[in-house]
Amino acid sequence: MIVPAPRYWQYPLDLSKTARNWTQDPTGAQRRLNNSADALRALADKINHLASRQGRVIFAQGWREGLEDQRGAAPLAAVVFGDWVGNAKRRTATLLCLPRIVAATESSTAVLESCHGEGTANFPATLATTPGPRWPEDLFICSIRQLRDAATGNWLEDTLTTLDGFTIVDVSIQEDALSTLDTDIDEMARPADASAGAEVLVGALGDCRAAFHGFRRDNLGVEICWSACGTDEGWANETVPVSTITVPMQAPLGAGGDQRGMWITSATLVNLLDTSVVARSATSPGISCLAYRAGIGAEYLDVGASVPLAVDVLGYSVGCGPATVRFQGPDHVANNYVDVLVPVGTAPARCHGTTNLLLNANATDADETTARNKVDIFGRVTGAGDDLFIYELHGERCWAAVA
Amino acid sequence: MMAAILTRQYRPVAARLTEEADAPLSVHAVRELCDATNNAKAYAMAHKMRGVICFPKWVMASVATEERVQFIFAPIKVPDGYKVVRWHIGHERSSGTGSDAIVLRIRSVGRLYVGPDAYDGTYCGPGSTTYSSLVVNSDLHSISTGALSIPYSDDTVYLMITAQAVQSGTKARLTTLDFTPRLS
Repeated sequence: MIVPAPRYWQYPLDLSKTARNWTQDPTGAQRRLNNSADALRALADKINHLASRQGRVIFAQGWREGLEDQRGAAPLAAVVFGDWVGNAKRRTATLLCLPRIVAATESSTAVLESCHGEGTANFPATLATTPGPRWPEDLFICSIRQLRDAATGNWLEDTLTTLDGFTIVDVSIQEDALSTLDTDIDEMARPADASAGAEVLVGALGDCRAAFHGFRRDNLGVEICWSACGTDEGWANETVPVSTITVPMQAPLGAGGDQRGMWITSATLVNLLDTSVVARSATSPGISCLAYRAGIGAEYLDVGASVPLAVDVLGYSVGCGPATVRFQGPDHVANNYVDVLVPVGTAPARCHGTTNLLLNANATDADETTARNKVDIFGRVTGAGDDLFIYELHGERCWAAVA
Repeated sequence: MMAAILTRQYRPVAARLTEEADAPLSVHAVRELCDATNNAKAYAMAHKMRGVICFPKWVMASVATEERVQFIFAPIKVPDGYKVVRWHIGHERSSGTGSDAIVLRIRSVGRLYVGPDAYDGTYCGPGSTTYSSLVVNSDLHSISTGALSIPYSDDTVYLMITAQAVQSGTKARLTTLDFTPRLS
């Protein structure tokens, strides 16, 4: 068992005193030096800090509209993420909720379900008086904790479902930090290999190198997530008769869609967040994905200047041919977009991009040009009268090829 | 001399530098890995803490010119060492003319805000309460960015957004919100 050392957590690691090639002694002679054991131990500590404390937020969503009723939404949201991070053994879903008036026979329960098991949160109290819950004075927090064994090494799709009584205003699902690292099962470096007085040999760095490379390959952030709000009968579309819909549906999707789904009917590309926008610009609606110096390799080379982002869509189209969802990124490289084809069908299907979008490792956080790290998402159908329904959007950094 | 370097992005340490287990360890190899860990903490593994696609668009409005609470986020654990949140917000003015403006404030508070709709700082809990603001005064789409100080070290961060119309009746619409931690 290793407790990640607190030193070096908060500052950049500076080994200038413990790892250097040359020094000048009091007589002025140049003497060759090497690494001290302390340098290696400090490196291992820093790596273990990264291994245990850099949990990802794998999903986050707020619902500003439709707060009045989320009863029995199945699912309320679809949660997609890459399950690669070995040390992410626990996840916590934090729900920001408003209470609801429920009948005596009803419960107030939210369920987070995945292939790793099911977690639930219950809110036992009900608000029995009128007026109903007041925002924001009645807000409360509840959590769902989920444990897992080894990482599956796949893209996972979890669902968040509500039973009778929650109104969820906001949710975030985050991988928990670890306070200790288990030497038998966790991914870690071993600072004990570099104890004082020990020989500082190449083999000791090999473990650190392998451990760090593993985290750097797997612990990559989720940049884009959006989920429609499901109904008691699953995902909505414009063809569902209003009479069969209970909550939270009140009417079919409006033009352009609403919180129950995006709905595109244009045969030319339109921005999903504002269908009057037809091209990417520096200020067009899009998701900012900071990637400054997050690449791999020399940043003055094309390969080092780009950070790959895998994208996918949950949706389906109705009409004469597959619809297209286009993710368009910064213009530091030509034609930097990925077209995801959404097939004709009667139920949502998960559709992955066949290539990766490229973020710009040279664009600073404050860049406001068209090279800024912003991803615009467009959609179009094949022909007039066709429909495209989108229920979930997801983008996540990836190591190389998409799954 | 090797100083701490953050902005040199990851270049995997060559395997040949770690192959011969009983050879002396080179300063070069240690330096490479140290650069990589510093970069990972500062940039590559500083994961986005919140990203929100505001679909359908979120309308921000205040009554008269009061500062109103518009949205409260579920708390997020920010890893040790990050002192600021870099935010990007996509917006447009949805109601108002000429130079009418509405001020949006991104606030970091000490606990979950469970107070009145009209923003009241006494409900923000102990500790430091900070904010960063932007002005929406154009009907065109725009994306603003800034930095917000957050409680130091490993902590739970409570973020919220308030709106205050400079001219009564002015409203703003949000399209995207993105928050990413940074060391400074």
